[in-house]
Amino acid sequence: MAIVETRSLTKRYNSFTALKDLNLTLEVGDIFGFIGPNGAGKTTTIRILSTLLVPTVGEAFIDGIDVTKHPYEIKKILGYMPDAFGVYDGMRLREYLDFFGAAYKIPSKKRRTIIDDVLALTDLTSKADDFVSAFSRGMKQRCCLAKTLLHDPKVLLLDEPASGLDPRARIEMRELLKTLQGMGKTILISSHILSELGDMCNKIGIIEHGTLLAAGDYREILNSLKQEREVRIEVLEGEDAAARIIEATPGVSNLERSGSEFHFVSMLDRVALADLNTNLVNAGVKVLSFTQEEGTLEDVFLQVTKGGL
Amino acid sequence: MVAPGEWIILRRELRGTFTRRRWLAVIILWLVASAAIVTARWPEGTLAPEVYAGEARDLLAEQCLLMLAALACVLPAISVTAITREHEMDTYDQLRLSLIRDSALVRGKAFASMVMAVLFAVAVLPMFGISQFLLGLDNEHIYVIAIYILLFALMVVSVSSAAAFAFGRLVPALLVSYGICGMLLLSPLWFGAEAYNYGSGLVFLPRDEFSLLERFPVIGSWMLSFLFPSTALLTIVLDLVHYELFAVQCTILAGLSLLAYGIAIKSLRRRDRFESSVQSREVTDEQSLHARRASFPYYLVDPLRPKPSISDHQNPVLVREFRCALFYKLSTMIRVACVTFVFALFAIAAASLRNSLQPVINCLLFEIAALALVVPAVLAGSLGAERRAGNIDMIRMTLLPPRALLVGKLAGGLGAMAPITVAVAVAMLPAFVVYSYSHFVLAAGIITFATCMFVAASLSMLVASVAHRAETAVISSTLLIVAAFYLVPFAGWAYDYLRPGEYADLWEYWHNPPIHHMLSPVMSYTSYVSNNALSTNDYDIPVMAHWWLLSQIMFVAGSILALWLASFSFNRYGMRDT
Repeated sequence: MAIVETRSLTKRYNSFTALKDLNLTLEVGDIFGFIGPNGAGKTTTIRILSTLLVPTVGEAFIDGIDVTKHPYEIKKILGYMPDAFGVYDGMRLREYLDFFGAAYKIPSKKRRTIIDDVLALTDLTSKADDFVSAFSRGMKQRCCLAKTLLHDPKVLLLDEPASGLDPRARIEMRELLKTLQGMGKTILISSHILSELGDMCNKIGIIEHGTLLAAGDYREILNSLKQEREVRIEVLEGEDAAARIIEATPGVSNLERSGSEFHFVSMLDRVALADLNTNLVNAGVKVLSFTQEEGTLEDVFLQVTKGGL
Repeated sequence: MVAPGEWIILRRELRGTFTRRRWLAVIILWLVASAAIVTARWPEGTLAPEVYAGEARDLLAEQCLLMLAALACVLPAISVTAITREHEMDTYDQLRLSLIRDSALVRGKAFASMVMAVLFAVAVLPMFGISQFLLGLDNEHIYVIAIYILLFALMVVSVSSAAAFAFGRLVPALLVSYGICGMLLLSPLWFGAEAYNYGSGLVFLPRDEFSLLERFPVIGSWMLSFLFPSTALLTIVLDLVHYELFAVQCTILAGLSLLAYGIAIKSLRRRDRFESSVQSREVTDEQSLHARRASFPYYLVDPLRPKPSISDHQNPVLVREFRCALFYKLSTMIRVACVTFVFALFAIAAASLRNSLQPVINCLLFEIAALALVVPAVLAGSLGAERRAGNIDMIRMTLLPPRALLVGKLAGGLGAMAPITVAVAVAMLPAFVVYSYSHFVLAAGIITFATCMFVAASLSMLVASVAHRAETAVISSTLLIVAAFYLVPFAGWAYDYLRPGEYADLWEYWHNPPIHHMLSPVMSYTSYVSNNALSTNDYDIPVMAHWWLLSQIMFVAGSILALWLASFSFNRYGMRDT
């Protein structure tokens, strides 16, 4: 079931088109990585979905509710963590969460328990009585995420949640998001840290100049876009025969041999690779390992986007 | 050859300024106003040559005053924001790490503002030139005016820059700059021999004949030259006062400029004062709160005490404003209230000495004028800062209606200003006892003060809800409040002045005030009480007998409308992106 859906979403600022015909569908439990260069339209999309901006053209639905027509209902099921946010002076973390809990109309009797839960979830329990304005950047990010989770939203929109965090804080943030996914939340993350998105997301969308260039299952996109793959074969016996067969296979280039290991760039599809493996075995080559090195999100991103401003 | 630091700064500043259309609009507005004066004041019929000369001088003097007013309004905004924006955009550290010297940085910023001042002057040169057609105008007068305007502009720019470098933050810098410029700007009204004496409460001058200045002419001359240069300029152009006074004034303006320049450079070199906003804090928030609480013993809300949970029926924004934000605002506002109280007591003392209620009324009017500076700083400034920090967006994403946000912020701002209202009311108490026959006048004055505070707060909220940046919110709401308080009566007064004949003299003018005074909460009160409060039975329509009250009600209703508009703007689509 689609929990987030956009149809021909377009946003124009005078003559500048920030977002062009965006069509996007997320299912329940998806972690969607929204990637693109600066100014590509990621934040605009997120702000439209979070009811803070009105689209020029198009529609957006969250859990079947029209974002532009029923913003109040949307706010009940949506958690938004902006890329830039401030914290109030003179407020302790518990007071800060209590303030937003009240703003989300959480009854005061339940609020304390919920605050304790989100503090535990975000590993901030020990900081509950500290002033939020004195927090480090990483702590503020966690604090904002805790605030975002207060009303138990079905969908989380996280705009650059890991920006400015140190490596440890990033790893912790990634683990936290995986925990949230385990809780059944649908998460849309925009980020520049592609390697981490690759680990977390089951779906990705690549946007540039306001146009969605690719969107869908991460593996499928990886496979469909990655034409050239690096293949590594290790054999126990029959190195020469293996070298001949590999060299004679169409679509193989840059063959390198290092003892019993072969390394080459392949243009072969999955069936052709399986055939190559069969040919090697039939020729008496004892294949120890046959691995195709996976492409990365960086490769896909560079291949899909054109760059430039 | 490498360009000097001043030029590098100047070029960048001007590029930024000239690409903003708002300044072009201000110049056009200014040009239209100047043209309107020339059109309205151009003498009709055939006049004797000596009359022509007098008319020309009058025309020149009026244009000159208008220009001084325009410069005093615009230059502080340009000068202060040019400096504080560097801080807000975190570009300040980059400048300081460059090889541009501190003094070159100050001069570059000041020169850029001076170029705008010159541009303003050049824009109306044709209007000035038209005065020459009237003949009889000495070149000497033109030189005097040119020198004076440039020195005045230099002084305003220097003081504003010094304030910006000294405070590092927009609001206090603007308050100081506009405070000084306002004093200079209002001086003709306060001290003009023929004008209504607004300032008597301030300087113990219930009437000219009893004034300190009249009794002690030497002190008077110096005060005159220091505080009231534009009045003196008028008299010079009108050939009423000696040129020595002009020399003294110029010296003072130049001295003030140099002093401000020195303060600016010294402030710039005090690194801790102007630290970058991206720099990490050296003390934790808790430590700074302890320090702040220790230095401020008047607090009503203890920021370090853990707060109970917000109950279900409470407005969270309002609760937060009172529990947390109020402490920060009160620490400043209590001091402002103390100054207000002392000031009001002086006025009461002056009233007792003179046995006249006038200084008390003048004091109230002065306090109301101060609202135009204080309220935007408290409301529009804090709201703008919150928007920049991104807090407003997070609140907009909650289930709170815009009305709750608006009411919370408004109540918090008014709560922060409560000490001032209390100080004014308490200071008025002796006057209630002494002048038992004038209870209505005093009570009406306090009601007017409260009305004006509400009007100012509502306008600030409205402007802050649509303005993109904090400085725009503060400056625009200040100008809007001043316009709401004074523009219509001032325009009417200017019209009456420019088209004489309707009133025999100023006494008659003030005792038979025109109905357009109703369009200002301040002027409706002033006119009503100067008209002995109760002699309004001549109106044909009975309800008009209480036109002061009507005016107040009308302004309160207008303010509620402004709040409704602000609420609309705070709504998800009306509010611009942060």
